[in-house]
Amino acid sequence: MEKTLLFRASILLFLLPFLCSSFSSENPTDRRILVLLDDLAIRSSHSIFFNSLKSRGFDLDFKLAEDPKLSLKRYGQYLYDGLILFSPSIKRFGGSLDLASVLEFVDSGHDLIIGADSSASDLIRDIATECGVDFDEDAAAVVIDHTSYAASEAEGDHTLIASDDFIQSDVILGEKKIAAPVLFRGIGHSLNAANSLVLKVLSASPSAYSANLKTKLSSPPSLTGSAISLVSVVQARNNARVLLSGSLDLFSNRLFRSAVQKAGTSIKYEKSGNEQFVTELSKWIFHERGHLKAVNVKHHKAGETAEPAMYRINDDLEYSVDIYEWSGTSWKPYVADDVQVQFYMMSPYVLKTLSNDQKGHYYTSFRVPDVYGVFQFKVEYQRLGYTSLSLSKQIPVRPFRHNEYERFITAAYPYYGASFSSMAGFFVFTIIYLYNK
Amino acid sequence: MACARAFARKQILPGSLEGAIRAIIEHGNYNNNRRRKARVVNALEQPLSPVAGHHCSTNTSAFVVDVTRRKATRTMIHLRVAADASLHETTRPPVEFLNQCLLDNTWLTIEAPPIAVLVLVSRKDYWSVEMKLTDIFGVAVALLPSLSHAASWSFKDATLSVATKGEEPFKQKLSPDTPSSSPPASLTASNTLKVVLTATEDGVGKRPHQAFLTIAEQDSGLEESFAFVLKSDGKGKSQKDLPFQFLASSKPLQASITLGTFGDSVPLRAHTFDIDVHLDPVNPQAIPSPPERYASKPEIHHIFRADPRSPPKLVSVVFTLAIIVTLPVLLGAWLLLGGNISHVGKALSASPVAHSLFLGSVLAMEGIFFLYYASWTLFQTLPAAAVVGAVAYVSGSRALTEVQERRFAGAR
Repeated sequence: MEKTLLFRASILLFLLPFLCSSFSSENPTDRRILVLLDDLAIRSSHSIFFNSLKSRGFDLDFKLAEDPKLSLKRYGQYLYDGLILFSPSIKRFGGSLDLASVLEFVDSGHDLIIGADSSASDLIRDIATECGVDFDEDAAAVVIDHTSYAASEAEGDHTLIASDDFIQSDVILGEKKIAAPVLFRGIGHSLNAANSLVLKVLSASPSAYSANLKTKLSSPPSLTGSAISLVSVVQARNNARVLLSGSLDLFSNRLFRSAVQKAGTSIKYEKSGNEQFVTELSKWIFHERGHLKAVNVKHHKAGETAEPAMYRINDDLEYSVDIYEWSGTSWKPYVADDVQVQFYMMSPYVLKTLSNDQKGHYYTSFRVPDVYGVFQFKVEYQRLGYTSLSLSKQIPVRPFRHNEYERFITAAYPYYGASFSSMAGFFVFTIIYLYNK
Repeated sequence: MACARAFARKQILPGSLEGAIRAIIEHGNYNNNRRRKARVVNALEQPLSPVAGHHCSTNTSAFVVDVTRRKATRTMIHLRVAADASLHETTRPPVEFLNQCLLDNTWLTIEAPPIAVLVLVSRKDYWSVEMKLTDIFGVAVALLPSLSHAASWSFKDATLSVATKGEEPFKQKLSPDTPSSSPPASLTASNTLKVVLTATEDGVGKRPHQAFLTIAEQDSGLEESFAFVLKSDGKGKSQKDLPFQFLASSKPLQASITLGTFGDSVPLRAHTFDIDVHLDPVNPQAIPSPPERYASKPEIHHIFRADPRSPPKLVSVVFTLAIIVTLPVLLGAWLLLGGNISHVGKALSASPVAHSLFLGSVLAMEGIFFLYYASWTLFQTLPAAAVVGAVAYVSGSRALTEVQERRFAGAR
């Protein structure tokens, strides 16, 4: 009995790698996503968003945030590629999930979406702070805008904001312009000025401010004007992407479907920009767009093809690399005219912009500096919305060998003359010595 | 409180402090027992000028007070009208003093009027903004009937003043409709900019939830909003540095005023005046360079060392010729001294192989050294030199033996 069990187990172990739907490094898009909810009703009230993810091939796993069996990893392997936290009021996650494990999840290169609202707990605020944004410290404060609120849904408190102040980036928000203002109801946040990786995707209008609705302004509001960020994204150095929204309603079916008219304007949109905004943004967050890879890094002496183990100073060399962008389904050539290569030893000695053939092949040529040492070819490519490329390849550079110098220089002609005439003189002397009478 | 409200309804017109004071003088002091439980958080004293036509003590003054009662904080304006000699003599801070006064029931409380003062103070080394509520120009009507039509916000009695220490401030009236046509207010490092206004809803003084002064830089679109403090004392100063982009701006900064509140009222957002910032030319502000993000860097081209410089070719050639000429001179000298090669035939016939090999190997050795200098490596040179050297050694000893034989024979 025991033997058969053992046998079965060994077969299972053998088959395990084939059974797992293994994550292919060739496909950077996330597949398995854990969705944590306060209340399972969000599953239906936000179903348009979830269905759009499902239709794009994502595997959504809905769980209550206080589920005691919650866990992101098993046997040291992550079970999910992405995490959606639609549980603003959760004070403590169930299971083994906590602040540290969420941060570790991001630190290991996975993606995160946080939807908060005015009930945001300290836990959610702490996660946001760790990601580089600070929600308004006043827990009762919401974003108020008396100038650009949504007139169609006016309830007198001007907290449903129609905002169209988007980040100027085709890669984050898609090539198509967001057609209508985005409706937002929730809390504002500010970006940590020391964190250069956070980007404001949707900012409030200059007349917005963040304050408690129920009391008069007793002191100047801490967040005012367009410094308030409504939706922000972070792309970490490990290319993990995080979306932080102060509004959970932003993703809801109700705001997806509602018409929108900005107060004080006569243009009425039949449908708010929320669906387009959220869909495009989620494509970026889950690496369906803006993910670069570099392959075929090559360098060789001009006119040769083999890669040398070492260059000599003043050699002419050629460097090339192929860069592709993931389109969600396949790798497409990435075309840009600002990719640069550095020939680097402590500091760049040469920094050149690479030419490209419009098919993702980047190349350049330059002369090795007349300084010897251990150099690196470095490509550090960081552009708004794209994953960062960081390539480096080490290569030593040696000085001239003794016999590689020019042998006859004009300044030394007298010395050559002296040497050769003494050699001739010695030969004549030998003859005279041998044959003198 | 009830009597205060009745009083407000009955007597006080907005915008007139003098009217309020006159009413108080006519009605006397108002007692309010509920004030006992209130605690003064902050207070600011503001002396008032005597009301025209009435005899009024010179130490008539108003206090703007933040009062905490239960949980809510409210701003009250306390007008102190009765002459009280002890007020000016007291050295106690206003908070403590006012707490005492509240207990003494000698204060009339009126809701804070929609008046604010925003002061921009510039320091030697940076610009800062202080907000304080100082002057009191009017008193609010506490209970206005709610308006059925959409009211719109505006402001009146607005002045912008730019003051230099010890000089008469430059003043300018502000209007909500049009940006000031006069030249932009110029601000230098020692100036204080101050905006005073009364917020109105349909012409009636009222306090909005939001009152901002927004300063925008035209080129970058960067904006910074400063909230007017509609109820606060002057001591809790909030300071903000103006972003450096503002200071570096070449165009005048645009200042606009935003007033708005909940409900259907139409908010105001009006570009009101411009500010021209003049930097201190003596101590220029250090402006950080823009961060290097998401941008390509300027190209770096290595500057190679210049080729070594050589003297003119002619000089080298002349000296080379001078050196080469020494060889014929040397040969001529040997000839003069009797040098000759008359024994060539004798020697070659005596031992032809040894002589030709020896001379050949000397020549070859010189050739090897030449090649070593010109292109050969040491490892190419050494075997060739060894072979030629061995030949030279063997053939040389034979050839020299033959020379020795000739010497012994007395032929040389």
